[in-house]
Amino acid sequence: MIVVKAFGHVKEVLGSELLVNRELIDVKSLRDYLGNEYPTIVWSTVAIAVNKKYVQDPDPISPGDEIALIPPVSGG
Amino acid sequence: MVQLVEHIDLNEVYKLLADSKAGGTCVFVGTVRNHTPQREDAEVTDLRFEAYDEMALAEMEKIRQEAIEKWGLHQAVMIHAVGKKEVGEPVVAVGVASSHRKEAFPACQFLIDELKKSVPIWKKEFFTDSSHWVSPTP
Repeated sequence: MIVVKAFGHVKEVLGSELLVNRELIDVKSLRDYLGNEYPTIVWSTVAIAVNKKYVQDPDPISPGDEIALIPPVSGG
Repeated sequence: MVQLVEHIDLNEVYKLLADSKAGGTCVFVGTVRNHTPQREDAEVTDLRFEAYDEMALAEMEKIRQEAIEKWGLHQAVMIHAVGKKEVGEPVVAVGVASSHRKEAFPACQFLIDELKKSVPIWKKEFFTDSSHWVSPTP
């Protein structure tokens, strides 16, 4: 079980925390899962953070990691 | 110093930048405006800011440290507001204190430009008749 935090417009579709009940080994596998489950979101514009750092598709995901979906930021 | 706060006190920002080695202090303040290019027919009533708090603070600290090293700053501050903000209210304040003005201006611009690029904070604009999440602007 992996807990994924969501923000901005992504949160309005997924809720603030999404529980993913399957094994994900890397960021790419998370992206594939999200793309299948929530096809209305343009995932190519959404960055992913693991343990509060931006990551790329080949980066690994381990049990207990804090994962977050970061739509385009608009602070300031 | 990096902070996420409910309300930005500009006097506090200036105090945080005080340093006897500094000969120049530069502060940028972003405020809520009442219009947006996306909706020329409607007036903005307020904005709501949401942050991924822990990561936003970590990203802000990373940017701050980079600026301190690059320009040899004596002090640097980044403060962003969260929650509901009305027209005219400050929503972000960044500032630097350096020996001379020459470093202060580009360092201050760097802080706000980088904040807008990577710090996980989002704003939703509310109009009299609707609301939407804002897309980033260059």
